[in-house]
Amino acid sequence: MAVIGIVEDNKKIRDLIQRYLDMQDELQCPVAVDSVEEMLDYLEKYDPPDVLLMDIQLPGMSGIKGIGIIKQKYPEIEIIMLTIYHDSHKIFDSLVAGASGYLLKHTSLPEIKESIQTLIEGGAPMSPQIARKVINHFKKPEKKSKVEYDLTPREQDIVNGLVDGLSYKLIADRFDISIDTVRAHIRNIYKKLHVNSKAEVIAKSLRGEI
Amino acid sequence: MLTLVFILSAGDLISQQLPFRSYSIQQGLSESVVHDMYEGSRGYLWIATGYGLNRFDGTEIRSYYQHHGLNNNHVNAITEDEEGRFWIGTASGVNVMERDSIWTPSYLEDLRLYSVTAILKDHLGSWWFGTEGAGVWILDSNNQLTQYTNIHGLSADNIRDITQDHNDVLWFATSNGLTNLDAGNFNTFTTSQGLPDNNLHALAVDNFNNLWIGTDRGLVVREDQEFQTYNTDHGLIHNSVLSIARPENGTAWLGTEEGAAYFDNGNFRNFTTSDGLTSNIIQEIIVDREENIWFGTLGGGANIYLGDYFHNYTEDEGLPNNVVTGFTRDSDGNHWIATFGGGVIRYDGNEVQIFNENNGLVDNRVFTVYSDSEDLLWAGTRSGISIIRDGEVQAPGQLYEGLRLVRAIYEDNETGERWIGTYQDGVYHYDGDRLTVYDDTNHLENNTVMNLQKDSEGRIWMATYGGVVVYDNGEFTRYTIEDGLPSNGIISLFFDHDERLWVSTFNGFARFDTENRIAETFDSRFGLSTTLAYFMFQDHNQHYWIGTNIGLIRFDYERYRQAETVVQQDLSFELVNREQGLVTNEMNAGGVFQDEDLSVWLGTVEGISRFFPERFKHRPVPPRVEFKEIVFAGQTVSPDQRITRRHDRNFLQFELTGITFTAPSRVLFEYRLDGVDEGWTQSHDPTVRYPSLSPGEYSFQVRAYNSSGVRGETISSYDFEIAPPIWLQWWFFLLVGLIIMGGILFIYNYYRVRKMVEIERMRVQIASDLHDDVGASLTELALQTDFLRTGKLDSHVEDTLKNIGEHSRRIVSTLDDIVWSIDARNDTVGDLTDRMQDHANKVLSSKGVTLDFNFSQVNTDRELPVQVKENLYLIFKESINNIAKHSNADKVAIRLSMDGKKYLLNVLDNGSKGTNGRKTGQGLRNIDMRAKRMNAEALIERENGFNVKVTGSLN
Repeated sequence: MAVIGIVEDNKKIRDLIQRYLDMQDELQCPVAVDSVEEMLDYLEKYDPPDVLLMDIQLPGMSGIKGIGIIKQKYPEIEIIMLTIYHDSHKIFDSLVAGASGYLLKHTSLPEIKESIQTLIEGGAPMSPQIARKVINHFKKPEKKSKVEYDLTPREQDIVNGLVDGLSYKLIADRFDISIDTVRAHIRNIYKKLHVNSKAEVIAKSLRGEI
Repeated sequence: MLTLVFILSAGDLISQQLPFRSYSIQQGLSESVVHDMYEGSRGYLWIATGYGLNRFDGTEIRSYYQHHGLNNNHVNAITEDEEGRFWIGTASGVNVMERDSIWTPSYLEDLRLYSVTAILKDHLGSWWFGTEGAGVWILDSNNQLTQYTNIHGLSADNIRDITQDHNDVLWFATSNGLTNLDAGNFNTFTTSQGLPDNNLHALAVDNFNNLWIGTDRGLVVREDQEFQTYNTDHGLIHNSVLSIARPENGTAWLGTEEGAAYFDNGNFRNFTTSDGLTSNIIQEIIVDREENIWFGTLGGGANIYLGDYFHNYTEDEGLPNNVVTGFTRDSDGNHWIATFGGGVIRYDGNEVQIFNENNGLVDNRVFTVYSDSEDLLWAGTRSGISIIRDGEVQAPGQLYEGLRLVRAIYEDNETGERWIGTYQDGVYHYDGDRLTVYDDTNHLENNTVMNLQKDSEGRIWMATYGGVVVYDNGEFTRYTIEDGLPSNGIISLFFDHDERLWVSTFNGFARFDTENRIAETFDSRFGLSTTLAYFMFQDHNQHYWIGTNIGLIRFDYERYRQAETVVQQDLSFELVNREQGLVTNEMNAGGVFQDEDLSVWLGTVEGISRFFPERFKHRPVPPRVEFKEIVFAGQTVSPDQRITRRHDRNFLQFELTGITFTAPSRVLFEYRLDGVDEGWTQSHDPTVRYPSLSPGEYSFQVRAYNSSGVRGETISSYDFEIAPPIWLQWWFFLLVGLIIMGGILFIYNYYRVRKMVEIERMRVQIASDLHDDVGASLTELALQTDFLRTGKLDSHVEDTLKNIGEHSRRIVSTLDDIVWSIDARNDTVGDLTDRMQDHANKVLSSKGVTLDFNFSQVNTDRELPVQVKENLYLIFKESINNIAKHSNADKVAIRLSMDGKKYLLNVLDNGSKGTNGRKTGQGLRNIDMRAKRMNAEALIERENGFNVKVTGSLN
């Protein structure tokens, strides 16, 4: 059974999602809190959930910063951002910080459940807006020196396909590969986004007590 | 006696990772299957793969494919001639490459039909090409190409390798034996002549003129006409020997199908993926000029092996936790390791046993371990002390209860006194009778005590965050910044072989003369780029090593003292980090232990590196410097070309590359511009700019240091000239004119920009207000209806709830569009096209409609006025929604183009049913209205499906 956690400061939305997910046979949602700080306290004491739903605007630490910290300590947690509006800039920032996907908050509850399951099974969504940002991200001159994190030619092809608005199926056809391979590439692209940001989050937990 | 839990937590440190670095697809290699490698005369490493040829300079890989001129992307072999031309064997013949151009000479056209597997230029200057299935071909000095096959006496037509020995005899390894060409005659050797197998892979000749042969049944050395075989019985990991490198004095490197091996006069040392290789099938090995070993693998790209000086252990190798904070060794030779989160580990050389909260440890977060004179193991943790006696964890006894955050433990062997340093409560002193605490209420300035050391005179030295404190028979002395220490935040202390004190601090490290209170400090001024020093140790060559947050720094104090310039001082520091095989760059305070075998255990945040300082070799080979790019007044120019530019084209930029594979990120460039610079400038930055040069003749000269501080003697240079101006006055007038115009433009822009900033701020404000309040409430509403609908309801209520939900979502989605269109960050054409795509994909893709976007005629970075962006998007949305609702189309073409200020949006579908007019009236009127709002023309046809065309002009 997959364990889900929620960080969301709107109590009503939070409770609704938690109660709904808890009612599902294959999901379990033992923790729903309203700040990253509380989630970090929770993670210290209990087993980490498989998937975290996380709001961007939160009291205290922002969701985007929170992703960085949580991902660094608990890299195995998959994080889905929740956002009210389709703000591609913030969505992209959160992907760079370590999120693996995003959902609009007004997405219906059954669809939220479906997205969580897709993610657990290895899916990786990426819209054209985000793909275009990915390209720009890897084009930035200051990234030039970190050759090892650049996109491979094949990944570049796939991102270009996404920008052109092609579906995963059409991309797969275009390059004569399977849809699963396309998905795997996209997950890899996410990983590279995360790696690029990791260096900035290298604050060591011990630093306070070196 | 062992408890059950105890047995369960025992296990092996399965293996260690060695300093391998890998380069494969992730790093930009064209493919992960390596067929051949070659180190060219200019220093680049060439990597031939199953899909493309690669050139590597240590940091960047450049790939060459068919569209660069290769006959085939499958590249088998590469070698270089005396003129610096490369000869490349592909699956379709041979290519020649000079600089960046690749071609096939007409006299090699016949080979295009064959896969060329081996290339050799013999001592007389003829070229030999081995093929798969078509024998060998020789190209003589008259460019005459001749083929020899099985019929002429070759053992087989599948050629695997070619070499020539010191007596000018040519040797061919084939799939069915060994053939040589000696004085014009072919002679063949097979199992009948003593070979263990006829399927051969590789050949090499050593310094004694012995022939080394890689076969499917081991390594064969032919010495004095005798074949001697070495195989798995002698310790070789696998009998299929695919490659041989650097045979000399009875040693060689071998690649097999199960890993690599180093052969040393009958003995093998094997290397596999468990040592850090990315693949076990080693198709090619070379030794580069820096003595690094390169392994070309099948499926794992190229691996570089730097030497046997680090053995790394992480959670993957059996550690319970990667954050390693301390080590010690007991009298039985067991190693004890403290981890922050995984408890304490005992390692007897084979097995690990873990002591943690499950078998009684007071806290898994351990800061320090100490083995006392009675062989009790003391573990200092966040929650106090635990003692391990004969494999059982015990409480420390009443005396030490209540201690927290224990950072350092020390027992004075002579007096039996004990010292315990804590992070918050000062230091505890047990004199055999009573426990006394020294803290900021009596003798200390700060309660954090990180490290304890005893000197040869029996004094106890403490590293505190309030300076160094010395205890001498009840007397306390303190040394701080006022005595010249770089910081009062002391992390550790170290007495070197001459009993000299070294202090590691938050602000670098220092050598401290306690008698005269003189400190020699080393901090970020010394090209270290860090200030955090966790610990120090000294190796047996009298070099010092400092553990920091950026790696290990080797410090040659003698070289430093003899240095005459700042540069020479800087070169006495050498950074050793992850690039050289360290498990990670960030060390931990206390994470150091010098073992009896001269190795040093290092604790980091990512595991343990066991370091063998005496195996860490000084690297004598300096980097080669190449110009990667020269940009002269905005134009890229060739490094071989001497150029003269006008005086106003005087901006120059050099992009350098220092070719080295040992420590590519530690290349130190040294350059000067003859004619401008007095002396040499040093920099790690490979980009050098000269923004404004006066007229004159120049020569830019550059050389480089490697990580060991060895400088190349060869200077790479680029000569150029900037011509003097013809009319100085004209130039002067222009300058004055520009300044005046610039002034006017500046004032004009200043006011314009200020107003724009205000408007933008307001837009963002409105957007975020909408975002916060209205959107959240509606979202709640929508989710509430979803939730209610999960219960059992009568269908009327169910429908109403469904309607409320859908309606709320529609409003949120409309709000979303409004917020998007007024958000000033989304002002470009690209933002518009992205959003159009997202919307069309969302609405139509699910219906199985194929979308054809054509945005090729627009500049995606161009900014659009808000009302144009908003209205175009809403028209587009309306058009798409119409198609979704009313058309039976299965294809929709969407085109946005711009010509100057004119734009055209066209949405066209191939539906046959068309619309029935009435219902869509509102939608189409909306389109008209929106077009008018931005002074555009909307043309709507609805013969077969829809054709919406909007044309207009920006402003």
